[in-house]
This record gives sequence, C-alpha cells and structure tokens, in this order.
Amino acid sequence: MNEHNANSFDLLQAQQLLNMLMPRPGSAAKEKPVQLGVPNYSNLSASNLVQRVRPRETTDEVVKPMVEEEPEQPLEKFDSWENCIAWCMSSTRAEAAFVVDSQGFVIASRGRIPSQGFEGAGAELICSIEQLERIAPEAGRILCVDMDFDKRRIIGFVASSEETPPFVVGLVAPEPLRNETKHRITQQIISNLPNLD
Amino acid sequence: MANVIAIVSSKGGTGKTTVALNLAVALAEKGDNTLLVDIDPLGAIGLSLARSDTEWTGLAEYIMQKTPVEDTVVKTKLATLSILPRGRLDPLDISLYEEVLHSSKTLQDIIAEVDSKFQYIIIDTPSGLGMITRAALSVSDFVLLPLQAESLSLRSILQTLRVITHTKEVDNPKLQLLGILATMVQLHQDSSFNILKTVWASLNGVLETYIPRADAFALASEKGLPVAFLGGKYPPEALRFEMLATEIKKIVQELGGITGEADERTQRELI
Repeated sequence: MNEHNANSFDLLQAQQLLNMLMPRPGSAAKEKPVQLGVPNYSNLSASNLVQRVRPRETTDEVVKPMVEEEPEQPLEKFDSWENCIAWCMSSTRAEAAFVVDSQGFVIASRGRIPSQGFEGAGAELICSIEQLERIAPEAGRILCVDMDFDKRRIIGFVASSEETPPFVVGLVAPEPLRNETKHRITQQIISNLPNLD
Repeated sequence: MANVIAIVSSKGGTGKTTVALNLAVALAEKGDNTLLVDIDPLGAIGLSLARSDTEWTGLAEYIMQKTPVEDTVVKTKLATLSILPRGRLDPLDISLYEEVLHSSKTLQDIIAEVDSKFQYIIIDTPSGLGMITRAALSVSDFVLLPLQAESLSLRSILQTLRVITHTKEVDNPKLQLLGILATMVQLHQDSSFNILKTVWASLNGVLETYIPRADAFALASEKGLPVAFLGGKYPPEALRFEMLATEIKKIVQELGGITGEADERTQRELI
C-alpha cells in the first residue's frame, strides 16, 4: 500500500474478495472494511460482443434488456461444416458435434467422438425425425429435437431450405438451451447452407 | 476422496509449476498418495522433469479416447506420487484442447475415476485466467494462489481473486481458497521485501510459508528433478516445501477437507 507497488484501491478490493473467500477464524481483515462494490471492469459478457462471438444465453452475468429487444446480430459465415459445428460446440459448450445428411451419412464430426462413431446415431436421428413429423403433420416441419437421456443430452437441429435436402446437426451434451438460442442456431445453420458442401 | 487443489495465477512466471511439482513431492513424502495433474498445454510438469514433449501419453490421449485414465497415470519412483501428464498434444491443437477441457466434463470424469486412490490431487494450470484455468477451478475443492514477490504480480492479484470468487459463486460453491503463497522472495532486495511487507500488511490469507528465489530451483530444473531430489546436502528450499505441505494439510483440515488423519495415538511409556 505504501509507495506505488499496487493501487491501494485494488488492494482493498482484493482484501474484500479475500474476506468473502476466507471467512475462517484467524483471518480477520487487517484493514477496516470498506464497501467498495464491484470492481470497475468492462463487462464484455454483458455487451453485444458475446452474442457475436458466443451466442449462448448461459454466459455468466449476461445483462438482459428489460424492455427493448436487442437488434438481431449479423449471422456468422461458415465455409465448411467443420467450422459450423465448431461454432455450434463453442456456443453450447457441447462435448461433441456431428452433421448428417438426409441419408444419415456423417459429413463431419468434432470433439469427443465415441469409439463407435456417430454413424448409427446419425442414421437413427434422421429416421426418428421423419417419424416424429407424423405426430402432427399440420404443425409443420421439425426444427429441433432435444433429448434428455439418463446419461447424456443430445440435440438435433434440422437445417433445410427450398434448394437443399435437410441436414441434421447433432450436439452431444450441450448446455440446456432456451428456445430463442435454438432458433438462432437453426437460423445460423440454414443461412450458411448455400456455402456448405 | 481426494482433496483437489488447483494452483492458479493470472500472471505467468510466478512459479506455479515449481510449486505444484514440489508441493506434490512434499505431500507424497509425508505419506499421502498424491496425483499431480498437468493440464497446462505447455506440458510444464513434463518439461520440468526433463521429459521430451512427446514422451508421455496423458490427457490429450484420454480426450481422444485412445487411452483410459489408469493407463495415462505415470507412477514415479516415489511410491506415493503419480503424475497425469498432459500427453502428446500437438501445439497446433491447443485451442481445441482448451475448448474440450472447458466445454466437456473431461476433468470431472478424470477426477471421479481417480478420486478414491489419492489423498491429494494437485492441478497445475497454465498462466492466465482463460478456459483451462476456469475448468480447473470448477472441479477443485481448493485453490492455492502463488504470488511472485514483485510489483506486477501484486498488481494483478485482484484479477485472480475476482475469477476465483466468481467461480465459487457461479460454478463451484465448494471451492475454497487455501491462501496466497509468496514465491521468489528475495528478502535482501528492497523491492521484493517491500512487496512482501505490503502483502502482509494489506491482505489476509497469506501463508506463513514463503518460497525464496534460490539457485537450487534452477539447478533442479536443469537436472529435471524436484528440489528435494537433488544430491548433496538437503537443500533448505526442500524444507520450505515440507513446511508448505504441513501448513496446507493443516488448512485443509481446518476447512473440512478430507485428511483421513484422526491423529489418534496409543499410550506410550517413557520410562
């Protein structure tokens, strides 16, 4: 605190945090406690930046608008399925991701790939989505299936457009996603379909 | 059940790996089964022990599902000390490695598998407060914060404390700070002494033990050994780590960690 070793304000802040972290006997503050509040950091996670980089709603301390909706963020551009599923993984903190075409063939995969691969899971996913659409034909096409197994979660995003047959992007063990995030991910994939082989 | 201790600092060069390695050795020499986990993409533990960058399989191979955890754990000549190395990680894959450690349950799964075999698991983290450090904090019971006795380290301590506090509040409520460990202390040098004086006067939670800057560490690094394993007269720096291990065990016990030591003794006769 003497001379210029460290800003005294920073050290008081540090001491406050230490008091919170170490409330054990014998560790009483050596300084008189001062209410300093939250350090004056610029909170990137509360800014638009996080939506551009990692649009996941579970980002720590995201400040949500009280009234007005934030303007739509520009969509990311991917030049390959690998980049697309890498983005999906980082957006959802998934363990692994894969993409299958309408025939159930795996086009790309990334992350912790199980020893048996995703061939079987991909084919079953495509088949199941077709079956599920029969439940409510008038309800339109399935955009996303979110499955909670007792050991793991899997989400399948169905991406299709007028010009292209459907692709399914599967995410293994992602964080729980809100509907708007699922919608954003689906839109992101669909908007990139023309660039993806 | 093991006590999982992450060694964390926002600033590089504070002696995290030296502390992790020598603390693990000191705990093991006290008879506690200890696992030293190297999650630093640099593979600093392996390099400190003069191993080639691709000598040991480890975390990288586990992540790739090529090797089960038990096959990646390296047993040392000290029966109570094992090492889980980083593995043969391609430096070009570091960002993916960081992503997987942060976004998956890899560390959690590893600890769950080895938890019952060790009393202490020491996690050596990379410098900075990025994804790997956050992943380590989210699975640890305790965190030890090495503070190099120089100005930049002191000025950046608030950053580390903020991340620890946040992790405790959001991700891992069981996380507890063991304390701040002053490292590379040179009491004969005014600037170093002033930093230590400032730390002692301003912050609580500073451990009694501090680690001096000493040639023995450079020699140990050159030989690829923990400082206690150097030949010749037993170095005072190794004694420092014995003191540190004792102090940490005491704090762990005070904080409700699992020590397995009831300290019950049978009655003895003196005469």
